Amino acid sequence: MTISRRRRREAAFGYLLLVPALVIFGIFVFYPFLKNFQLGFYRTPPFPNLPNRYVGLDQFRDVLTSDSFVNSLKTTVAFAFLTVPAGIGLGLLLAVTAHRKLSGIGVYRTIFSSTVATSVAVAAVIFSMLFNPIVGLLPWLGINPRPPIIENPDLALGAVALVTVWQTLGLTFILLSAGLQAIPDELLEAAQVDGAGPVTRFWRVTIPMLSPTLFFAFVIGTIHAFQSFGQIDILTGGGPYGKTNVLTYSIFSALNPAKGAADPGRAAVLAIALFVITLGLTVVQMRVLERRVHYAR
Amino acid sequence: MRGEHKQPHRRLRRFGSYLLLTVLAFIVLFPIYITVVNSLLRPIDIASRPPKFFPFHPQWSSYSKAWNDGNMSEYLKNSFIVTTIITVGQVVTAILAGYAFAFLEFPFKRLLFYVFLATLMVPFEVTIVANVQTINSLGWYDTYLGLAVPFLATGFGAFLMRQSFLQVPRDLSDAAALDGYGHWKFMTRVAIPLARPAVAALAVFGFLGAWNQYLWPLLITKDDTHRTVQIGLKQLSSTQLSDINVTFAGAIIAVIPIAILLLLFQKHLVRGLTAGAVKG
Amino acid sequence: MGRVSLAGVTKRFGDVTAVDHLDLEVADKEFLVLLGPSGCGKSTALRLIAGLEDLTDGTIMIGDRVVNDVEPKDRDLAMVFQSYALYPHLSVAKNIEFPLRTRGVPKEQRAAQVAEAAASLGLDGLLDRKPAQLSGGQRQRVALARAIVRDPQAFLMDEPLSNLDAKLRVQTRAELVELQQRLEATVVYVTHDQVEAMTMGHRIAIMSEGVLQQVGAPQDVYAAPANLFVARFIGTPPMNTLPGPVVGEGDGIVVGIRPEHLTIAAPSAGGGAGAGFDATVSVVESLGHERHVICRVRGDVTATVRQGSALLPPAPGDAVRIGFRPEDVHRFDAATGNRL
Repeated sequence: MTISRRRRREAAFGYLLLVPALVIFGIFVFYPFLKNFQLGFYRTPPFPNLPNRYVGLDQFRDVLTSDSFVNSLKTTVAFAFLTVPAGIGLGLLLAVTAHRKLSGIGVYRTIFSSTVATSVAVAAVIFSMLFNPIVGLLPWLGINPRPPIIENPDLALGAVALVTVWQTLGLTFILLSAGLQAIPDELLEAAQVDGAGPVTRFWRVTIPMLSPTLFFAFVIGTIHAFQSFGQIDILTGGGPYGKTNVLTYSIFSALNPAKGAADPGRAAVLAIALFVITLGLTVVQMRVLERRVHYAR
Repeated sequence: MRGEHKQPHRRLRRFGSYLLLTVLAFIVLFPIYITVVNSLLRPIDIASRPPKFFPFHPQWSSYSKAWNDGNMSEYLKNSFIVTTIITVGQVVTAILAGYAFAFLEFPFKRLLFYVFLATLMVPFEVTIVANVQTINSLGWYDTYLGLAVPFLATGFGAFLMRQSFLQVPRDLSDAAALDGYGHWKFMTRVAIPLARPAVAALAVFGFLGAWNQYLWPLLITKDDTHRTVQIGLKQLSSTQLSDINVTFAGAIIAVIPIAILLLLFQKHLVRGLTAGAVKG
Repeated sequence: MGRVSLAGVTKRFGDVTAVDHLDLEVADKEFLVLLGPSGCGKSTALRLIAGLEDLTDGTIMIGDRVVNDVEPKDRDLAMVFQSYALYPHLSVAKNIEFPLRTRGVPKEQRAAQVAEAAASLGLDGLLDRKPAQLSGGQRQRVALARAIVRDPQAFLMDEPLSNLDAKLRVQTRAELVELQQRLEATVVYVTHDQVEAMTMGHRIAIMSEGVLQQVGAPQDVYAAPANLFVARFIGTPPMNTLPGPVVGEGDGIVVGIRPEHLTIAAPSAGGGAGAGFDATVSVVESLGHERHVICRVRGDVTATVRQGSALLPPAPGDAVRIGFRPEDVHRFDAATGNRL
């Protein structure tokens, strides 16, 4: 079967249009992804200029069973538990409260979405002031533990979680608001005539109809929590005593010459661990949670 | 007889709503508010007890100090350059790829589309180790190229543009073919104008994402020459308490460009977000 | 007592008056149709009865209770929405059961009532399906089952047939009438379709721009329309309305004659027996069992005549004499539109 000339030209043009993106993906996405696995097999020597040693799966075993990895994992999971449910709950509260036909509601909605303008760095800087033992407002209000909040092993992770929740509130609000707008008014009116009070309407109609959006927010939120980095770097630097040393931070530490000799082998293993865990979590969420999600079609 | 009995009940409910809204707005806005206030106070005043909640004599000097000594001007410039390169790159590659997937036929088209989608599955962390090495070996460490090039294409962008182009009615492309439009003309004169909302959403989203990047600029820059605003802010924040108002001024400076962008393009942001979430 | 009374009911949205001092009594077990073009206020009136909108003025009573301040859920009503408003995430059975659950009816009783409602609407095999898996007609029946399951004081229906295709609409019309008779229910039914109104209602209430134009049994409204609006709205093809002078009346009079009350004859010298006027045939529409002959009278005044198919058809362009009996003439004031 011969392909006509016009079809051949169209195909060539098609490939041509894809080339720029594919080149970028090739060099900066797929190659590094594969190379990362290879790097995991090579242990970095303690002194520079010595060659890397191929150690097979030994490095994987060593890193993944190390105390610091287990600690990182626990910290990351705890962090996710602190930020995701609270973030979605608060976002839902804001979305529901602002979903009324009151005059001037637009102003409130803009305020509720305002944190989208902040980055993790901005949020961290803002809150570092609030937490500051000398000039901070939280200490002035009486919340003045010894040691101070972000140096406090018991409170540091919670503090960073608070910052994260605040910073993502705007995005969560916008997402859930859009979901609420998509619920037909007639459905809630029918529920009213059918005898449902406001609380019943919320749990039996609004939440089920919102479930696809909630599910999406949950999955994306978890992935986001596992990839958090900036706020930890600015607020606690992984401390105190590794209490905020989430997985991304441990990867960064392994790469950063300022934190001791760079250990790409270790970083590679940690990165793979993060990838597998995030993927696994997403799959689990899809299996377990998506069953309870109702899709209109 | 009007529904007079309902009036006080209704009024109470409305008051309650406004009360709740105001309390929540206060909680959300307070951190930003207090930062603005503190950026305009003198450091002694910031440390004073009870704290001052309104700058009656605003000290604008903190802003000029952040801008000049604090190098915010450099940081902003660098961020603008890098973010613009990335945004333009993402939009262009997305349009080209989306067009190919929507309007052209070629072997392995489906497979290639899955390749594009696969990039969404690869999280950033797994690529940093090797990417740092790649950038170093290319000699792009601490350069605009090193900061921007890895992000010039996204799978999400191609997906969004393909969706958008698929909405262009068949009749239009048929009519254009009859009128003798080649693909290039069709793309620039018909398809892109029709897909303008998606392009705008992509641009806003891309700009926001690139501007807020933290980990990559941290790894790839070593001094203020190419440092972007997020890392610059980190630099600024590690100054002493005596200049704390300068740090806050820096934070506000970092927020303003994005705030303006978002105020202008709110709708597009929502559209970009909901493209993934609300099915339909 | 399933009575519904509206007294002086008014609803304003800002400057717009959607419902203007509506007085209406719906008797127990009556099927009352609220009829009118879109924007006339009929849907708003229905929503006011349901409590989904607040009254600006007036009183609404359901049974012997004034319900102005009563929440929709406490008014003991059921409503069928135009789009059916079925809960997409619930099965048919759970949809029907919803009004019972919200009122705390115990489980066994709920199951029995749901089964009964489903059976009376022929939904037995579909109880486990979700609304997305049903056809339009089936969804409508689920909406009805949900309405009847609780045996409320009155049913409110907002254009429930308009989303069905023509054939199904005719069939469902008859089923709805039969259902109302069987349940002996009070129904307030909103529609813009005058055929539905004529065939289904015990009485029709016609509204225009928020104001009630006329209330009465279909036949009475047809035979004696209270004003020009009602005269033109009821009847297919619509009543012919001609300026007075055409039939020898004065200038301030508009004359109305139904198409079936007109006859066509060849122009005869000297007027002929009975009243009439001259016209030219413009279009002849043949419908099989009858014929509509549209004639140009003068200027842009036209008259439509209904003619049985057995008669010989006139041809377009023919000059004809249109005849009528004086007792079939309706006379209206040209300025106010009211019946004289």
